[in-house]
Amino acid sequence: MEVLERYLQAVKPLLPRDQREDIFAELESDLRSQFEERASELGRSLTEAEQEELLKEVGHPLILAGRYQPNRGTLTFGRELIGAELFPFYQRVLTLLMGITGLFHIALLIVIGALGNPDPNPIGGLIVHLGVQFAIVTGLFAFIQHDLVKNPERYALHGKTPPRQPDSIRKARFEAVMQLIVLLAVFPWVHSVLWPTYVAFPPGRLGPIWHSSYGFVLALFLVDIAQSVFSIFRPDAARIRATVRLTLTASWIVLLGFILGAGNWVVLPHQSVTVRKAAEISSINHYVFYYGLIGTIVGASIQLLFDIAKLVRVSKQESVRLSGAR
Amino acid sequence: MSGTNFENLRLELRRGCLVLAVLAELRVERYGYTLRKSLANHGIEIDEGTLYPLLRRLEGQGLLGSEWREEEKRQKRFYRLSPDGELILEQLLAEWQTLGLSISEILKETHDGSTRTLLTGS
Repeated sequence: MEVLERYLQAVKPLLPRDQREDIFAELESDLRSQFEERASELGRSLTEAEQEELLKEVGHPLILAGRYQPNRGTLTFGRELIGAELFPFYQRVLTLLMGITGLFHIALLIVIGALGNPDPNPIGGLIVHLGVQFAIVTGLFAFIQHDLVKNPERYALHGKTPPRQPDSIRKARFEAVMQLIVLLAVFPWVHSVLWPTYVAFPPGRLGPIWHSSYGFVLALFLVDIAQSVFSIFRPDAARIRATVRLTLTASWIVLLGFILGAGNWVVLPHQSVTVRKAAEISSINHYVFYYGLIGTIVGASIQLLFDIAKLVRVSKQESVRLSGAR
Repeated sequence: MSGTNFENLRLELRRGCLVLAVLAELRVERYGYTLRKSLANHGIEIDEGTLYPLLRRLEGQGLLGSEWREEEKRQKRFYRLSPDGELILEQLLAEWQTLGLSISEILKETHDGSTRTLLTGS
């Protein structure tokens, strides 16, 4: 019954909190009855493939749990973009993301204001950020919905998945969701700093190196977002996750090294500046950016060591499991 | 395209009928799995992902009552039509029969009309 156990553990955290235990108990009881009856018809216990075949008919955990949600709205622009099963999760992600962004934005405004350079248009920036996030999250969910309708088989259980501890699956999925939320919250802010060719950083402005590195940063963010989405649906693919994470950390170190090598992170806005302003810029370059970048590279290098250790550990575990299966 | 249209319309038509079928089946006490089997035996296939949320919704509306009880060494949740549910079922069945008769009448008229047109050629 391990397949059923894994399936139920995947459904449980997605159920409405106030009825979770009750729904879970009912599902478990009825599915076990169904499994037992099928086994008694065959006169033997069910194989993993047979168990998964029965669960395919019940539906993907996300879809099954979605049907229990009290909020059964949909998002429709001409045609249905996000159906009733996914809509509660879409709404939850959007609310959480926008809440974090709002708080982050307010905190940033307070810090900037305290430094004596208040943002002249604080609401405009927030609206742009929220708009970008809304578009990304909606696009992502609309894509999943489209794929779900077109290829329902893809969302069935994965027949060849090796058995795993339900806790590790839950933890991996939770981490992936949180990572996706943070990435989507931070990316619009990074975009607004790196994309424009000119960003004021009183008394100077950000140097051209930041704008030049935008393409690389965008690529790293997109890979990270794709990896998070993949991990939500395949939390069992630990080795792929560890490999991508290690590659990403290494890429960030390369990028940071490239930025560090450029030197002039803040430059003079124009030539006619006083000696005092030039000294201020030099001190910002030296104390804020130079040490800041070095510190970040050291931190990322330590992270890289953890990533390598994790990849080795996960690879060993998978080898042991595969040899056990043989 | 017409395949998708048919599927959407079929699902829409089925949705209302499912409620009626479930209420009718639950004049006798059953738990989820036996209810599903009983519906399937009458030609109405319904998956768990649709049935259980529907049962909860109907219970929330006061049309069903439920209780947990042990049977065959397992705790199971048994559902049964509530007095309100019985009343609603009666009303829905009357509506169902009226609708059925109306549709038959419409089809009969259309069929007669088509036959007349074919015979007269006008």
